[in-house]
Amino acid sequence: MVENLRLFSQHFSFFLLMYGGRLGLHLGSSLPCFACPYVSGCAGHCYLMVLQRSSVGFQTAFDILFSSAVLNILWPFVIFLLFFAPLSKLWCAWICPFCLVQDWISWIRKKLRIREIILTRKTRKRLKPIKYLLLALMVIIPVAIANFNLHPDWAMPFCQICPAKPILPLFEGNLGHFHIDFTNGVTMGFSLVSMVIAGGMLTGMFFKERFFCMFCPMLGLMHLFKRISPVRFEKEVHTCIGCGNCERMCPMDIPDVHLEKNKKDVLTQDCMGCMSCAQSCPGDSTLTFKWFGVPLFSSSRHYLARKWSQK
Amino acid sequence: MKKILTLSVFLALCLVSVPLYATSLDAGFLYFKFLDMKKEKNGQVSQAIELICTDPAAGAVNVLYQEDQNPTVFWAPVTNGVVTLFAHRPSRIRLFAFAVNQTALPKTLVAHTNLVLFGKSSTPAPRGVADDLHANLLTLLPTIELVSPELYYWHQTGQPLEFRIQSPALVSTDLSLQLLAVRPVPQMAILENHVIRSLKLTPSLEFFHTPPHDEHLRKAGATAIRQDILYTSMTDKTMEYALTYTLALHRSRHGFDNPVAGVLVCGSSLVLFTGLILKKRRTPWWKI
Repeated sequence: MVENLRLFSQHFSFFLLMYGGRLGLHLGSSLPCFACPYVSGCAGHCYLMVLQRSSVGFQTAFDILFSSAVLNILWPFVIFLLFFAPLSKLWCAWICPFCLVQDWISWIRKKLRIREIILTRKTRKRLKPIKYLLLALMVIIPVAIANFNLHPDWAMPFCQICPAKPILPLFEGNLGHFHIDFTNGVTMGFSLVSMVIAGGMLTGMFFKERFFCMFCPMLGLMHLFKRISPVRFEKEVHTCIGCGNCERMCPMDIPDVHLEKNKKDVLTQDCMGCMSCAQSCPGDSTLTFKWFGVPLFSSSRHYLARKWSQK
Repeated sequence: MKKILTLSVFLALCLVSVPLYATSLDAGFLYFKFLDMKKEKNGQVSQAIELICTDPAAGAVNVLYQEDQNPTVFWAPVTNGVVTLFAHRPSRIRLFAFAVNQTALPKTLVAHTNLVLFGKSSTPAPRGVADDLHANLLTLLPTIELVSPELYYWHQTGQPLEFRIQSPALVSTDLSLQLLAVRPVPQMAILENHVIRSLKLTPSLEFFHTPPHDEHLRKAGATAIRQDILYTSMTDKTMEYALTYTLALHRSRHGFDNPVAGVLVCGSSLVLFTGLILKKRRTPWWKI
């Protein structure tokens, strides 16, 4: 079953990325998933941190940005694209450690028989731009530090408020990132916001599947470059019976796959490639994930019937 | 061999912007003062370091440096009293300067510091290899060494640092020391000397110092530095030595963290959002 395969991949990736560094594995600092550098002994770092850093990210003076030294900034980005291109958004649902943490929290909720909250389409639509706003701030703030005398404690603004920063180190027994930093006003402000967001996200992740992914700037960044990837998610609009299973089963409640009547490509900005929609679609080959034109998984009524008979 | 007669260690705490005057310690010495670090367009990183000598009778100053992975000693170019070091790759550098004052009792002034430059370029900076005579002096001259390797590239206030007085001529013995702090008062030329505490050298000639926190550093940002100058003078019958070590200190990374407040804020947020969700949701929260 695809779901079991995905869960295996997630768990394997989690242990590899979180503890692989202790075995000497290091995959660099340009990974397209939330492998947090604040976890000591991790096997690689999230690209978003590099994006905000000095000398390899946007915290760089304009004269350097417009010189050959910009190669130092482009190089980590090229590596990011090399990692991202083969798998596209499959990084999210199949590899990202923070995604698995969210799935664990959702699993606890399901075991406690607590219902998931449902966000209206209007609310979801309103929340969509937040990830792009965060992405823009990750460029604007570092540029402002390097060129417009913004206080240096604004450095790495997203990392300072990212909920993965306090939550992921818990898995190596480190509670140290749950704190308020009283060094000065800026650090205190950031740490306060960070703690409020961490609390809010833990609540959100409990009541709503993949709650953080709605705001994840990495998802937004990957969506901007989805065209360079060989991964495609296609809908055969003529065989769709309009049952709406895809939207109901989608952890991100994406309505576009269900509602799309013309386009073949239905890899939307919030899609994480978990394939829940394709697994729950009763139409034969209506929804297909392809890699270099080769189907990775196609929907089929037999698969759906087998899945539900097992449940 | 009759070696050390007296040994005293002084800690001169001086902010970058405030000049350090010879009269403050009543002694001539040589020290480094870090100026700007700059990212060059070719990817190299440069660090300018001012060389300050408070002894007017001192002779020519020789400046040498050595990288951690490389035993070769290089000349550091000095222009108008400023040494500029370039790195095209991450480099841990030991920088030395020495000069001799040929008075009745000859005096050797030695300055030492460590720095890390994270260069990233395919173009190595040109540099000159020092001759054997000068290179060997580095092993013979007494210096103040920073021992703490785990804090090597990011020394912070509030953390205990271990130092060693490295000298092939120094007899390993239990000596009583005094640690003096020269605290600069803004806009004042004369600095105040006062004893903080007495220190005792360990048999291996080590001592500990915990740099105090600094309000300026707290406000200035994580990359801002304060420069502390450690000073020691040593005398035997034939030669006097004045040793300094320049310590670039960042503010403490975790010294002002309050975990209890953090857990309280996070917990309050969790409770608040849970209450909000339970209040606002339109379906029952339990599964039937």
